[in-house]
Amino acid sequence: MKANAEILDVPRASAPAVAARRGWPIQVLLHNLVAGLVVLAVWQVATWLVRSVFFPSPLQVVRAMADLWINGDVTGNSLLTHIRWSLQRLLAGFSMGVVLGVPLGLVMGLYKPLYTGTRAALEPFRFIPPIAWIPLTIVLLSGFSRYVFLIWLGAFFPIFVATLVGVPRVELIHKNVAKVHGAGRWYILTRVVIPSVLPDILGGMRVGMGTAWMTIVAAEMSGGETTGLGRMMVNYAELLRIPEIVVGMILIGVLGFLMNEILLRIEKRVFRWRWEVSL
Amino acid sequence: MIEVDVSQRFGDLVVLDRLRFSIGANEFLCLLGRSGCGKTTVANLMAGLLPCSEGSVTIDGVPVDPRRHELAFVFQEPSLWPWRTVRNNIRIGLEIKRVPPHEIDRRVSEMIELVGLEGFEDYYPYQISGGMKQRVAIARAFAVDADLILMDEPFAALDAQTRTSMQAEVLRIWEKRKTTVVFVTHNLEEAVYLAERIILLTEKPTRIKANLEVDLTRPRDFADPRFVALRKRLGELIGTW
Repeated sequence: MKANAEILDVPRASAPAVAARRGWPIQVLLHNLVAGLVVLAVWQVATWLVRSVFFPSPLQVVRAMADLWINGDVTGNSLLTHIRWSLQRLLAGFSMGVVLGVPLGLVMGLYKPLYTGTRAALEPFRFIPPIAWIPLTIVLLSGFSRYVFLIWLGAFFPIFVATLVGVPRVELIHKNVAKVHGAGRWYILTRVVIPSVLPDILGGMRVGMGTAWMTIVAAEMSGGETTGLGRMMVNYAELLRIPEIVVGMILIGVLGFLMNEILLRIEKRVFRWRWEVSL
Repeated sequence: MIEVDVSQRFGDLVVLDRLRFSIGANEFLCLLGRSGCGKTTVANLMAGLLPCSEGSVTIDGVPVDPRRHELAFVFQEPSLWPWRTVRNNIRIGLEIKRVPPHEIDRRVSEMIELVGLEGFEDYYPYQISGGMKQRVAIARAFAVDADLILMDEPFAALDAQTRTSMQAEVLRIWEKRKTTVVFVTHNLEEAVYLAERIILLTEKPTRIKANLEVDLTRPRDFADPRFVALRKRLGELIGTW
């Protein structure tokens, strides 16, 4: 190949090579295992130090988790039911956040006057934490719709803002390339603007996913339905059964982590063309 | 036949002052001038990226319009779409003009071979060097059957050696594809090496200082006395603004 002399020392991450780098290497798993054991050890030591009936040991929590898994909770619902319901509400609210946040962000980003004209009226809403909406939603909404609304609030704003901010950052030169060849507005929107903004959108989605997940727990704790991880935790709190509460916390943390990982994987896949690594 | 007859002002600033020249079919024309003399503005006007404040640029009598005419532009800065591979960057112009898919594939393969990037079709812009990126941009420009290709100092950001080899490359591709090219530069040697005709521009308000034909046989030799003489002449003309 004539061009050989010109190649910089860059990793030749062609499409086949990237696909082969799938899965977690053994070293990373081992390191994480060690870190996990350290956390457990610290926990156990803390249990001995605190010596309170309200501070569960790792063993108690493990037993509680096994019990919950096999027998379900005091209300007769299985663990899986709670998980399923929390996730369903999350997905519903989150997808609404995406469906509304992305187009609105694009429109406001493309038509500056629309954004500046509505900013003072609409932006303050961004700063009201979803949790502050709970009292209002208790009286106005019920059940599934209440949760979905609260989750949507958590997801919408990060996604909307990320999209909005990404649009002006689309490079003019990329648009000019399309313009010179005679592209119309639609082509430029779909083939230049959206691919350019996609990294920002996905970043916003990860943040939105995080706040949405935190919101669901608070929302479920505030009453309403009988299912959901937050609901389960409140039930056990009323009974002063702490190990089960910790089980709920652990599950919430692990599920949130897994969802973040999924989005990260998607990001890495879709953005093979980027030099930087996403965190 | 391309006719240019423009004046351009931005507010009170007169950038171009009644610039008039014409370009023949398949001609390789250089617009030569100091930095800041408005030659990029001329290129943008000719490409339809900038509206004329006064006058017009016409191709065969029709005002230039990216939607109707087949235009291409090789920018000075890297202009490849980072989310697309080399192959998919080259096909942009063909895609927009709705060329049938099998024809697109054929032309893209042809261009990849022509610019010497075989094996790199599926690489992303971040994986290739600056010279290679410009080769992709050139391939993208020549892939369409252009009425006019504009190049705005495409090699300015490259190192000297890459620049020299790219100059030869561009000529080779132009001779193969036979298109009208307007090449903007501030580099005298580059202009004399490449152009069939050189239009020398003054500083702002920009007018045409000279319109010279370059009557040297190809391939041109930088050391040839006639080359040097022409280059000297241009140097004198530029020196006496």
